[in-house]
Amino acid sequence: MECILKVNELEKSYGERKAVKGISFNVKQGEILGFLGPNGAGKSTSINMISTVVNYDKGSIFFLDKEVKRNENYLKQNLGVVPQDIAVFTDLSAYNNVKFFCSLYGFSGKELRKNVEEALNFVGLWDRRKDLPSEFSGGMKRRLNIACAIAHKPKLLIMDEPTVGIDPQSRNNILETVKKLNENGTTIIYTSHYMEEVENICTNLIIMDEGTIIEEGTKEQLKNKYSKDSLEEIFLQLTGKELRD
Amino acid sequence: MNGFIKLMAYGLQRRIKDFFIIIYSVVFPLLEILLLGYLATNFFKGDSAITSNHYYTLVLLPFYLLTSVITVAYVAKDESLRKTAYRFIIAPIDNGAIVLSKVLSCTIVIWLCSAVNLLIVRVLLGVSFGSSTPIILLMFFTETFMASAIGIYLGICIKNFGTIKGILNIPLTIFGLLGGTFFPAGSLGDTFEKISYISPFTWINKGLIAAVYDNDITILIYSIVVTLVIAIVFSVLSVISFKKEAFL
Repeated sequence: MECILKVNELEKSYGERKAVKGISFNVKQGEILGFLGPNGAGKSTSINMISTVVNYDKGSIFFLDKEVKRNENYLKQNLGVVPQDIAVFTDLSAYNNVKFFCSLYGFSGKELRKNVEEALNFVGLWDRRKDLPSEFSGGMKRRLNIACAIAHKPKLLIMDEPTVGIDPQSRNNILETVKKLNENGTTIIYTSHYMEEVENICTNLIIMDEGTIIEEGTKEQLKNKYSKDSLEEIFLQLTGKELRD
Repeated sequence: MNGFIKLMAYGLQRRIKDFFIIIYSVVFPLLEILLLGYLATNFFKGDSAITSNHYYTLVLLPFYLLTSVITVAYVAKDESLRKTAYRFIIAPIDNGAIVLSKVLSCTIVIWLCSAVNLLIVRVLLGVSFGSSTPIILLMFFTETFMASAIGIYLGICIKNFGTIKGILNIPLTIFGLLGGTFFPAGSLGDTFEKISYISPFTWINKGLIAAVYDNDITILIYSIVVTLVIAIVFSVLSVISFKKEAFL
């Protein structure tokens, strides 16, 4: 499988503290990569560097063989991010939220309307398109958050804990949406603290701690290597049971 | 500049619906013109050309335009407060488009508010500036542009909105006093008048009054050019100073 993203020796420091210490990994086209780690492991910084939100100190990122630093807009045009926080305008309808964010990617007219309709249908919110997000339940807001990230049809989608704080039904719906997106050809980097979610949808896994990648491979490879039945056990064995704040 | 038009249209829509901008740019100046105009009626009685309402319309509108620096600084943080900044940063739009769309949308909406104020005082109080109205509006535009550029610059550079308010409130009030915003500065003697030249309001107000009542636009033209230059400088500084991490 062709690599959609290549990350080489990426480093980032905040003052004296090294948040990410030279990580390297590849994301293959069409996979769902689970990006795991306890709080403060460097996951968010890594994701922010990939999504160009944070500048990195050293290393390089290649998206479809083009270096991101020199072709930032090429990555941005093909990247969708579902942030952990609900990033929508509360005073715009669901339709107008998706429409506005999709328009930032250069879409207009019929194509824009078609994309918005498809994205809202995809997350099951087309019937509620005229409603304000403030009238939505937690799960619906999360789905709208996803619609805003996928309307421009990104090739790579980064989902940062998209199921935080919602009921099992909404969570199941979102996981089904993620699978559907992947089946339609979108490559996904998925971060979550819910191991059963990761086990359910991810093909490959990266586990980070203290700014480095401490383990990577497929679910089966990791389970065989550590002779454990669940990812949670492997995760706790690798990262310890001490509280991380 | 990628995305400028979209962001500009979006910025205009948001600013027009912005409660704070409307209150600070339309309601407060009008109330103060009505109040001070009424209180100072006798002070201006001897002069048939300029009434207290004329005077306070000419000096209070520029004052409120410059104090909109504080409101605009808040606009700089709009998306970060709404958590939507992230989507702007990851979209293929230029930082320049993000910053300049804010500066220009604020400029246009606040300037339109000042034009609405001129219309209201004309209808309500019969205050008309005749053929000087276009140049007054031009002065208001460059002043609003300057206030918006400074406001966005401060909003980008200073994280805490309270700090911005604290920094700006005192000098703006002092400049207002020196510039004759609350009462004609000339009435306090020569020394006060000399000191008053450090206030931008002194130049703007003198320029406006000379243009309207003496048909002399020299000072006003200087004021327009200076405010425009400052506006451009701060717009460029805002684009340079814009850090996407700080925007979040």
